[in-house]
Order: sequence, then structure tokens, then C-alpha cells
Amino acid sequence: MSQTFAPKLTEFSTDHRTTGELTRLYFDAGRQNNKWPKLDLSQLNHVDANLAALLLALAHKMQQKNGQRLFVDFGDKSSVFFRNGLIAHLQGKFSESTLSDERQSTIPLFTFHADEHEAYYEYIMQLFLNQRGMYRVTKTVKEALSMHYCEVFENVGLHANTTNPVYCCGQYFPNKKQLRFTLVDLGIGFLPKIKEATQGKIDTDTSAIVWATHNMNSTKDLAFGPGGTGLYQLKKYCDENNGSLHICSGKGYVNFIQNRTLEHNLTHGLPGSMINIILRNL
Amino acid sequence: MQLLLQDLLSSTLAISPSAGQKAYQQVAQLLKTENESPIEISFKGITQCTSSFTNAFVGKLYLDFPSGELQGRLHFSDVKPIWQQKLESAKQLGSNPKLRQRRKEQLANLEDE
Repeated sequence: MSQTFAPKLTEFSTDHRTTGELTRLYFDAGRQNNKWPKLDLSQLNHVDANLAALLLALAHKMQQKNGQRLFVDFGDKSSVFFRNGLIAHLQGKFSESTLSDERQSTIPLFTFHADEHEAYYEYIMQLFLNQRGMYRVTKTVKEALSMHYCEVFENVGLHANTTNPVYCCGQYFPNKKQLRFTLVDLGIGFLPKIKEATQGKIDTDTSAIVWATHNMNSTKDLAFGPGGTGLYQLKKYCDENNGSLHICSGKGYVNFIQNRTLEHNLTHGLPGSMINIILRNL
Repeated sequence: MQLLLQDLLSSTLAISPSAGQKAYQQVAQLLKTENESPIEISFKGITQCTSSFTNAFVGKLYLDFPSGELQGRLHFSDVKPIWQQKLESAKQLGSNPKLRQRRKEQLANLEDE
């Protein structure tokens, strides 16, 4: 396979627009599976490097499904993607020992299988909560954040129905005093189980996402106990602390911000789910 | 009888549903064999706790045992305030009559198979 096709991105931000462009890339790759996609980031003014988690997840899915390899022209953005490990991951050469971030603005891109609970916990404690953007955050708040991030990870293990790993990456923006963290899984998404649990009353990706964040709603098999409070508590934490929670699953992308719920529909679905958490005033 | 949760789990992390199931199995066994004796589970030494864990542990106990009995016999101590709500939610979920009915039907179906 030597031909490439070159999808264009207009931005690389933690929002539904960029997610829509990346899912379109994934869709187009599926239709042109005799060519390899080559993504050009060099012309962009700004990149949210935490989206490395989404990019790597899609790259792996394209490789699995179509045998395609994703090429990326990072241009002058390559520094941050070296520092967070995306370039090494894409080259198949990632190793913890090669990570080096002298600016201390990245939370490196790691992948975890659903049963790697302790490794994920250590990642959150050592690499996320010890990140320089978090130095003014109190121990109490860090404990709460660690708890919420563990909840999100455990949700994937319970609901995503996948043997693919979870992809995690974060980025601190010192000028904005914001930290953005992205977690992606390549599972079945929210809708199938929720549609079944509600006997078809919930039948769109966006409504499934909203349903999942309501207290006590769950599709868990009762053999594993009741459920339904993890995402609700995370959303509550964001609401109370000027944070934002974005959840994408299939064609649904929902922003929960300042007690508002903004729903967007993507033209092409994400083959899994993504959770973006934006913390402000750090 | 007082038990340390970290001993039941062999870990200071109470975060995964599988850890919750492990705790459930041990405490459920004690509830059946230690007739009417109170059981206290101490969270001393636990460094993190999630609702995935409390639901799989406490929620499932409240689903499978009469809540009146558990309220009298099963107690939790040294629980950080930030985790208290998770325990209460798990008890509430497990005590929910609709969920309890569904669980009864699920167990009945398993017996028929």
C-alpha cells in the first residue's frame, strides 16, 4: 500500500468539531482502505495535545480493521507530541523510559487494559495529579479528582465490552490555567445496552449519554451489584467546580458545562466512547 | 468481629468491581456463618474508593440480604467523608424494591437452568 489520501483538519481542539473531523477521517479511511491516511497538523495555529489519546485510538482501530497506517505531519507542533509520547506510540517505539517533558505541561499518553486498575491509579496519582499545573490544588481536591478519574476508568471495564485498551492523555495550558484530560475506549458505546435496558425508549447516542449521567441509571448486570452513580458524580463535581465534562459516544457528543447540557450530532460516529474533562482556574 | 478491608482485598485500593466482588464473597460468607454476630469493616489504610467498588460490595450485600438485618449487623468504620456518600448510595440502590425483585427473578432463572 503506497498511496495516501490527505484529509484536512481546520482545528485540533477539545470539542465536537474536531471530534467530528477525526471521525470523518476514520470513516473515509474505511472507504479508501487501499490507501493510507496522511493527516496534516502543520498548518494549524494551535493543538490540544490531550487529543493524542483520540488520535492513537483511531490509528489503532484503522490498523486493526483495515490494515492501514496513519501518517501525521506534525510540522512545528511535533515538540509537544514528542513530549507526550504520541509520536513514539505511532512509530511503535513507545517506552516510559524515553518520555521527557522539560516543560512539564503534558500528562503522557498511556494505554491501559481494563484489568490494570493499579497501574492506572498510579498514572493518575503520579503523572496527572503531580503535574505542575496541579501544584496549587489542595490534597482534598486531588483525592476527589483521583476518585472521579478512577470511576471513569472502572466504567469502561464494566460497560465497554472490549478487549482493546483505554487511551489516556492530558495537557496543561498555563496561560489559560486549564488542564484538559482525554480518555478513549474502543468499545460498543453507550447506546446498545441503554436501548435494551430502556426497552427502546432511549434510541439515540446523545440521549443515551444524557441518561447515563443521571443518578442511579445503570445497565449493569445485577450479578455484579447495582450501579449508576459514577458519571453522575463526575458531572456533579465539574458543575460545582467550574469544570466541563464532554462525553462522546457513537454519533453523540454532549457538553456538560455550567449546569447546561449542549448536545451535538456528529456526521460519522466514533467507534467507541470518549470522555474529556476540562478543569479551570488551576 | 472487626475486619480490615485492606486485609480482605490484599490491597489498599477499593476501586474495581472485581475487588468489590472479592469483598462481597467474604463478607456474605461471614453473614451466613456467624449467626447474628455484628460485623465491622474498617476502611483504615484504604487509599482510594469508587462507586464501582461499593456497588459491587455493599450494594450487592443489600441486594442479596434483608436490609433490616444488615443495618443491625453490618457496620463500616474509618470511612473518609468523601466516600460516605458512595456507601449510602450503594445501600440505597441495593435496597431498591424494583432492583431486588429483578434480582430475585434473575436468581430464579439461574436455578431453573
